[in-house]
Amino acid sequence: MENLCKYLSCCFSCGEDSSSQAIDSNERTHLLVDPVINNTSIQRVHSDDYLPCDSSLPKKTDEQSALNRILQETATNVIDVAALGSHNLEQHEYLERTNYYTAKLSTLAKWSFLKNPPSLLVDIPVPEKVLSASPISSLDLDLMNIAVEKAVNALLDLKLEPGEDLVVPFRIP
Amino acid sequence: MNLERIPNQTGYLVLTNDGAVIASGGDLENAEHTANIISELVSLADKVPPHKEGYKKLTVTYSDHCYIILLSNKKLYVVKKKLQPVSTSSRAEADQ
Repeated sequence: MENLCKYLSCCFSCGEDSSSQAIDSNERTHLLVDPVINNTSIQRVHSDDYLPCDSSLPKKTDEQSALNRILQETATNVIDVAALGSHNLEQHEYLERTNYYTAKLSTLAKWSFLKNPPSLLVDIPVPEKVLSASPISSLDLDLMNIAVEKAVNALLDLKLEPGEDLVVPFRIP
Repeated sequence: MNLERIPNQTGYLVLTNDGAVIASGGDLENAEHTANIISELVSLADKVPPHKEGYKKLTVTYSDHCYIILLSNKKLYVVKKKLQPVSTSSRAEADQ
């Protein structure tokens, strides 16, 4: 029980650490604390507990260490989101952030090409006319097909005639 | 806009820029699969260089039907149309 209390106090202090970090948090702050840091602190607590128990109560130690081990394993495997310090935003903080992000976005507005990537199709205000127009005539289609077919055949017929030797010996004296 | 009034149409789709179906009807009612293919086709066509002038419509033609794709108010309109079979006599007339 004592161990649990110690452990919980450690957790609480960890929570305090992360909440103190949260004060200067911004959009780039990691929400989850680095697990490596958490692991080391937990292991340290474990070793502190282990030593005194070992000298006083040898029989209980096995049980205690087993419980400790389970506790430690659970603690390392669980990400306690609540203990990481919740980002409770006040109303004015919301407004501040809204203004901040709006300002950031407005500076990006000049990069309009990001919003409108180049498009093959142009935007047509009244689509009915184009949609109602009769589709491509079969004659035009045939013409295109024949032209493409000829182009493909021409490409397939493309050949290189070797004029010189491909392998040239270097004249190293 | 009523896409059902378009002559010879057998189905239509209205898609958002990212390919979500807003409206559909006829042969293309709830045709999500076709919608995905068409939006992929359009994004593929956008990579064709160079196209400063742009085009009004993109047509995918089969022997008896075709799909007409165009962009309007940032939405993709797709209409499937039946193609009138060209009789050999009329083709011969046109050839002359």
